[in-house]
Amino acid sequence: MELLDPAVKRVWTIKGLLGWGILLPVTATVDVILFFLDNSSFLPGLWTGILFVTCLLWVLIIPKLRYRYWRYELRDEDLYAIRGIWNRVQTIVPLRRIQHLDVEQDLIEGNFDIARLVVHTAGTRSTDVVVPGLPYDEAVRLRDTVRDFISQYMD
Amino acid sequence: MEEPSAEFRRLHPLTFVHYVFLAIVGFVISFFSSTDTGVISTPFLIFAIVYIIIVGPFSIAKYIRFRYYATNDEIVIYYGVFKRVRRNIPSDRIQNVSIQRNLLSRILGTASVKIETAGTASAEGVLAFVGIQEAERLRNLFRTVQTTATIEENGSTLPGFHMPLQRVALAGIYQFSFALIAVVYTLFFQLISLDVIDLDKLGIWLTERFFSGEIVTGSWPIIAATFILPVLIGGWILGFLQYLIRFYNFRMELGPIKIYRKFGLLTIRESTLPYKRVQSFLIRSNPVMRLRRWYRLEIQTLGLESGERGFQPAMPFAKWSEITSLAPQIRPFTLPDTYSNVSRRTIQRYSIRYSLMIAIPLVILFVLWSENALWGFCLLPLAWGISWMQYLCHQWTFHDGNLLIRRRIFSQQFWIVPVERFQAFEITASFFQRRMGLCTLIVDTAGAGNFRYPRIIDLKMDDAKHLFGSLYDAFQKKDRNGAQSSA
Repeated sequence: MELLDPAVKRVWTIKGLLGWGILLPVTATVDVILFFLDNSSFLPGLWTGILFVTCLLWVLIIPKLRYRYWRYELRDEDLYAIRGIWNRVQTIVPLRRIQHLDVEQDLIEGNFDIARLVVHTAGTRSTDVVVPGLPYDEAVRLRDTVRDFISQYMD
Repeated sequence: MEEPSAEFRRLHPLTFVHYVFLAIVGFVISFFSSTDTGVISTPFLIFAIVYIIIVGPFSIAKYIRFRYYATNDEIVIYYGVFKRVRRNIPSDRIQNVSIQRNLLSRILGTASVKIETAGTASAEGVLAFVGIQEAERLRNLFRTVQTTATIEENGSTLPGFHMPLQRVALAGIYQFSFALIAVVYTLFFQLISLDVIDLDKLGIWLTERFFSGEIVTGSWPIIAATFILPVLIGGWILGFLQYLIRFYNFRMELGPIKIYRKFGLLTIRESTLPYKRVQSFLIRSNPVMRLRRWYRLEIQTLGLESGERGFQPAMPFAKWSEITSLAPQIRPFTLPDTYSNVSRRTIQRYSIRYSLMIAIPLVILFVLWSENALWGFCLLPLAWGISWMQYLCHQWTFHDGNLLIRRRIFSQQFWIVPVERFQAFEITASFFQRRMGLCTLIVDTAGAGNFRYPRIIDLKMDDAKHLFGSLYDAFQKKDRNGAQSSA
């Protein structure tokens, strides 16, 4: 089975920083103001602390773990993916059930030249299975392989 | 093929009566939503201004902009005030033409026609409202393409299911409505705040009437009698009425390629459902209904009515034998003699989970309130009991090309999922499940809800892998055959 592009770890780190890290100065400021206004509050900086730890987790540890447990494989008739840190999920998406396919890339991913393959089925739970962190060319290659399979099957 | 006149048509002019009716409802609600009596309330004023300036003119513009024409090949709808849309729906894409008539439209002789396609809700066409003849014309127009017949035309010859009034009333007895209670109580307190009802006088009247005035205030039987009992009885009666109104004269018939359904007292719903779109069966029940062997059969479809979340009632209240004789005609299935259980360790896992769900709030209560909270720990055996019941109620088997799953103690579910309807296969195992060598097997189907979907929880890892393999093999075999036969 294939691993993701290691660059995805840095993408996740940056996204984690953007998500949680931006909140950090805000809560820190609020905490400082509160401390000077009313120093009776117990454990000053508690929320900032909690947020800081969460942030560290999301930036340093989660990306590595996510990367470690992500595997995928495009087999003859299906796409097979294993992922998840806490909840380990194995999914098989039969290629015949795929409704449409997207290769997606945002600015950060573009910087690292990686992309996501998004597979849509008619199902409701795993409507879209997303394989993140593929090298862009690899994502396009996968998409074309699946597309060829589907059009062959349709004929 | 004859070419029907391709001229544009508008909606029925009586559509405006519907608009006016809605407006009146809006005015009435906004009028009563304030407790100040005698003065014109702010919500009412806001509603009136918004209605007169925006909604009213917009409705007229909407009506004027709405035009359509229908031929044998397609229906074209032009609509939109600001964003102008032209929607073409080719007739071979039309899955269903459903006609809905609420009380008002039955008085006015109008109907709302919904043209359903396999796509999402936004790809559908709704004509609200047209005259009843026009509705029939549209349905017949697209029926010629789909070659079908209606219930009225040759109803009795087809196999089907009919609920006479007795059956609907019997089914209604098993219903309970929470939503309507909320409405009634909101209304009740609204009347109190408007001084229509005086709570003190009501209390005195109640105690005098039912307890001959001898009740000590604050004793709990009176609280139960004056508050909880009416809620329960009210919820029951409302549930009964709601069910009666919804499923009155329920009729389902199995045509050559479609299922027809027609039901309702005030709003009559009439729709057809192609067999092709049937994804799976869900048979529901609860312990009370089970006592008298009553069940409810639902068909999971690609999600026609968003309100039904893809589950359509096919036999709202039926005996098991009725279901097992009729449902296989919709999609063949057979029932096995034995079912497999999941791993016994599920009892342990769920006991721990439920115990924590009981214990954590109790500890918080103990800290914040009093040590009386500790008595709550007497409930702990319940955690084990429920887990054990849950284990007994959870069974599965893969039989004759269908995955059969039975689940849940109270709101019992029995799934029949044809293997060729699977969209994706999934095995998930949480941290704790992995420690116990367990996992959950999920099959994704089209049109299942976000919360209601077929899954087997706490299978042994080896069993799951084995089942996963055999399901997938069966799926591929059927799918390849399907591909060859269609090619």
